[in-house]
Amino acid sequence: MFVKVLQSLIFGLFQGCLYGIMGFGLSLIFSTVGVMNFAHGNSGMIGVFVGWTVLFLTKNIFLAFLAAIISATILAIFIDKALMKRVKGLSHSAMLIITLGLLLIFEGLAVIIWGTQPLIFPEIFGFSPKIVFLPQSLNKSNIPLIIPGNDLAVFGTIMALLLLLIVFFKYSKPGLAVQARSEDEIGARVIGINTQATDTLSWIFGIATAVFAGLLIAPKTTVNPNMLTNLQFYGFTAAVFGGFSSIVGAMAGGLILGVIEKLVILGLDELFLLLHITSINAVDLQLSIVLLCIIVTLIVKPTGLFGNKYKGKV
Amino acid sequence: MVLETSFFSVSYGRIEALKDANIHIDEHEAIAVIGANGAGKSSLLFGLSGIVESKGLIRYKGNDISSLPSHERVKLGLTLCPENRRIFPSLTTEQNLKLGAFRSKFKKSQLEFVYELFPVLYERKKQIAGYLSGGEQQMLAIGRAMMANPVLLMLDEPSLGLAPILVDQVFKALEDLKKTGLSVLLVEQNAYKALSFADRAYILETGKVILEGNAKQLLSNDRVRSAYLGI
Repeated sequence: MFVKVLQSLIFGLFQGCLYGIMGFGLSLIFSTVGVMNFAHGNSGMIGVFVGWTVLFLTKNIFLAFLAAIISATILAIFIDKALMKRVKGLSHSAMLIITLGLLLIFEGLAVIIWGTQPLIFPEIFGFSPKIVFLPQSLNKSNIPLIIPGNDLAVFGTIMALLLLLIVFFKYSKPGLAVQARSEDEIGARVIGINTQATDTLSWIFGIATAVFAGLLIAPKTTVNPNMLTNLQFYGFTAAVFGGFSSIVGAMAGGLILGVIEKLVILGLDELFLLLHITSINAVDLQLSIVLLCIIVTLIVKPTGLFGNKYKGKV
Repeated sequence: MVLETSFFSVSYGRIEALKDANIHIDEHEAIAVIGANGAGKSSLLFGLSGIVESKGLIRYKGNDISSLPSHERVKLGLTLCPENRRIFPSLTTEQNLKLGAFRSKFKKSQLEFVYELFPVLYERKKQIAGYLSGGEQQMLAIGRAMMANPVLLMLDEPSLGLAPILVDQVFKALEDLKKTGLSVLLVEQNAYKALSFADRAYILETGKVILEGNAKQLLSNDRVRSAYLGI
């Protein structure tokens, strides 16, 4: 049992870091610009397609990442300057509708340009899985612990990136400006923060992280127009979980969500086995578990686990 | 002359909040702007600091700054301490103050000056600003504005929602600031306090300057007494 729990914990963290990075982007854009970006996953997807195309043409993974991130930056600046700036004064719902429209446009665009056929993205790291046998005292039934090497590398990469992002937003001058802007727009402007610049920066960081997450999971999911749809949903949950106003909260929320998901599945699996239920597979309940997490969080602690209580945006 | 406006107007859509205001502020001068709700006082300050768009000319030290964005104006020394404090609630007191120097170089001496002005902020420097009392938050807002090292400090309703004893404390601090040679543009509902503090004053009514003059003389003006002082 111990090994099974440990295994779920490991898989949970590996999965959760992806939720965390999606949640980070969503909550960054939400807390700064004040809009829930429904096109988040699909903006990332477009970037991954660009990356795939460059990889296909040059066979250079580094260039592919670079091109993907650059396309994310261009996309972000376009969304911010060409679309959001114009409706900003109107209402938040106007901005929301725009992101909803973008979701559909990006999907259509991807289908037109690259087609619906899933495209293969090669493994980025190429590590083999490690199989570990824990000592007998901890492991009575002698089940091996599996640590997928590629997932571990993805986990490490994302955690390093999240750490860098935290440092950037807590200590660098532009990072502090974004934070101040998300706390109070007028307050930020009177101390001389260029809030147009902070908004653009938030869009860039938000969408670039979505592209980055998309590239890392592309070997698993293949490159296709819906590759990030589910992950955006999980990211949204992570952000609700951690509190939309706190970017660190969204990251932590993602990790916790991943672990909860895997542990609940494990528990249900054991329960079904015990009750001889074979008609339901616990893994199929994944999305229901996540939805349940949102509902419970919103009832018990609407500000999220790490949200601050000074404002009521969510 | 630090600041001078001519035919300065601020509108929100079709609503003109401020119409053709001509005001000027000299060096080391404290100006009060008095008026009822909706008279255009806050619009004047928002327009001057570039938070909202405005029409007309703003001359700052002789240069027209009316096309500059708000962050450039802060850099030049035009700092607003906005209504409702607008501090950053989840940051600490000291982080708030340090952010005040966003456009100028952070100087430790400036921070010490603020702590001297408001000793309570020094005691609370590690506390989360959202947990400070209303009076402390107001002091923090003024302190944060001072961190930008302003030439002209604009204050929007610094006494709003404060107990009388705290209002006195805030005005005492403003007196101290005035003595350092700062120009102050103060918008207030508390007309008596503002006129006692200021050198000169403008009275706004429905977006127009209807009266201006020496603050002490305005204190004894019949119209001002009946409309704003309730005497």
